[in-house]
Amino acid sequence: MNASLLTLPFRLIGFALWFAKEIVVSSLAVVRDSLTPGHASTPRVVRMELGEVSDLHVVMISILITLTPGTLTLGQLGGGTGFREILVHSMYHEDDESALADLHDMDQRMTRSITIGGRS
Amino acid sequence: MSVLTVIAYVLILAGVVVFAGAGVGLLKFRDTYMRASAVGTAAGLGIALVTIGAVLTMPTTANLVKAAVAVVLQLATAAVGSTIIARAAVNSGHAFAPGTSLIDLDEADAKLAGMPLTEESGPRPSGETSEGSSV
Amino acid sequence: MTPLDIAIVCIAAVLLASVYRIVAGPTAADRAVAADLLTFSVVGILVLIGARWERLGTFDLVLIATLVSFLAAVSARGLMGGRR
Repeated sequence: MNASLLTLPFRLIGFALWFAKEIVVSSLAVVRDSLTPGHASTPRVVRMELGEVSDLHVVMISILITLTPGTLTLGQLGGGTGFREILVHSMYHEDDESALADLHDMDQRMTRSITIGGRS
Repeated sequence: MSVLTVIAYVLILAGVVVFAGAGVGLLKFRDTYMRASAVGTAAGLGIALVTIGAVLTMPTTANLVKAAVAVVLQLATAAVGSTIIARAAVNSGHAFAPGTSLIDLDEADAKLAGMPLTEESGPRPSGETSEGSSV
Repeated sequence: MTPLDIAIVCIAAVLLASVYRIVAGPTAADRAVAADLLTFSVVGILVLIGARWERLGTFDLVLIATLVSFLAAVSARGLMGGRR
């Protein structure tokens, strides 16, 4: 993967387009639940392990998760140094595994799009 | 109508749809966390879409600059604001809707043995500390 | 009725929904969340009024409202009391 400054704008645009698609897709679940009678949501709280990452990384992934319809960051666990974990509330994932798979997919895509020369 | 105006109206329409979703969600969802989720989305994306759409109807340089700053600030702060409220709700023991799967939260509680989310245990210091790193 | 008028009416309806949630509650966090959405509805309506009547200067208001709403969310946290 070429993580140079030169490709940064293209990677950012690519990520923005993917994120826009993701928002449309997850909006559909929310809209369907909102417009039909009864409740289709299967709410859950999952612990997402981010690993050894910077403060900026934690803040950015938290913001992106909250901006995505149906998911909400509840906060970071622990003292805020070393190994990072955040708690995420999800409304429309069938189980914890699929929720974490989607969240980690977003984390990896974000990391790839903002990395410059090996550091996020 | 010019092409620019059409684009502007489409963006404003998208923003209004996001807003309407948050309004319906606020009335219909069962607990604080689902409502905060709906509002977090609308606050960031709804305002951003409406503002971009509005500025395209009168695109002077000054307006474009102000709107760009407003959109960036809005995207950065709105989601953090919702997270802050949700985190305070968890810390103060607001109930989750019946049926919510809380395995990970209970595990985290047991592991931290009563340590509240993101902040050190013990008495609260008078000033707020490490806000940026703890969100 | 221009499209902008319709948009203003829709966001005004969202504003009423958030007022209902502030009145009905039931918890302090629900009211805080609803107050958040109330602020953003007002900002959205301000933006659209600016576009509708071509008032310059509305974007200054939007900039300030953005920052104030963030401060409101931060202080709402302090109102929720008890710690887990």
